[in-house]
Amino acid sequence: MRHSWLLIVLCLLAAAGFAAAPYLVFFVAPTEPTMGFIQKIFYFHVPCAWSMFLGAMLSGVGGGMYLVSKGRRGAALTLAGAELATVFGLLVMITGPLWAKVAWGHYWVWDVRLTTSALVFLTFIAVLVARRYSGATSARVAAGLALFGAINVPFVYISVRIWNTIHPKTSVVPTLGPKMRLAFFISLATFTCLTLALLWLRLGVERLRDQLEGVMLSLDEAESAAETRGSR
Amino acid sequence: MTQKLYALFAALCVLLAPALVHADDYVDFDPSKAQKTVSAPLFVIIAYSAIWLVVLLFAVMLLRHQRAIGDELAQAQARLDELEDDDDR
Repeated sequence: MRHSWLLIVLCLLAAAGFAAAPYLVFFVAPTEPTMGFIQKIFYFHVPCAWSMFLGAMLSGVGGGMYLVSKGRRGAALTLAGAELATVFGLLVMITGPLWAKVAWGHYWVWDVRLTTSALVFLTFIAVLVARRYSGATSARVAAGLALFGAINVPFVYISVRIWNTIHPKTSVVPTLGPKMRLAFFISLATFTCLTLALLWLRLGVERLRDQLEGVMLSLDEAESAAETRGSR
Repeated sequence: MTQKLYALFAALCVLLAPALVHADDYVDFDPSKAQKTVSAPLFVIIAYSAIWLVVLLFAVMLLRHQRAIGDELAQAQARLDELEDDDDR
């Protein structure tokens, strides 16, 4: 199977990052004094959230493209982005409560950041369900929902600034020490490469599916022509 | 069958939603108390394992899906070529 050099580079960078990031997180970055060892989840939890937002925004862009042009590219991007938003959203929903249980004493609180993140995650599950089960209009319904989900992303980001919340603020990153910052940005870069590589692969599946549909249509035509000739 | 399962899941979600809302009332942040009751290293291990497992499963699923569609495409293309050869004769 042929893969582009860009995909290979992204996979290599992600693999190198996944090898380096845990070393930096556990052996280089110091333990945070207030929360203790559980704060180590931060280095992968935030990049997972970033990947969820990236998937959501790409899905929303795909949704917008589809609603404007009705093209297959838009539909494919909507679906691929929604799958990534769901996968990384699931990881945010696993790692966040584990961190919260130790830090706050509860797995879940109806804090505005947590609730809006859950809303985005559920919206992209809805996109996938709509794409599969909405019949003839499935691509259109999914595109509309994806656009709605993507519009929610900036609200999730700024929610900690606008409302009173117990979730750490976005301003915490610039205050990190140099070793913590290094571990965090290496993790962030790793997850970005991974997300783009997975997106590329997922779009490749859709391209193959489109080719298959085209060949199947030609095959149907050729088979019915052959049957017609046989009956004569 | 699948539709019935989805309907059951949706009904469960609706039934459980109020319980979930009231299950965990807000409690003030008290790290010293919280950290004594649960094992932070265990939770960190679970979180990191979940990330690697889910990402790996998703990547494997994508590659298998891609291979399956590629095989189907190759078969369909071969059959089409065969029919077109017959047509030429």
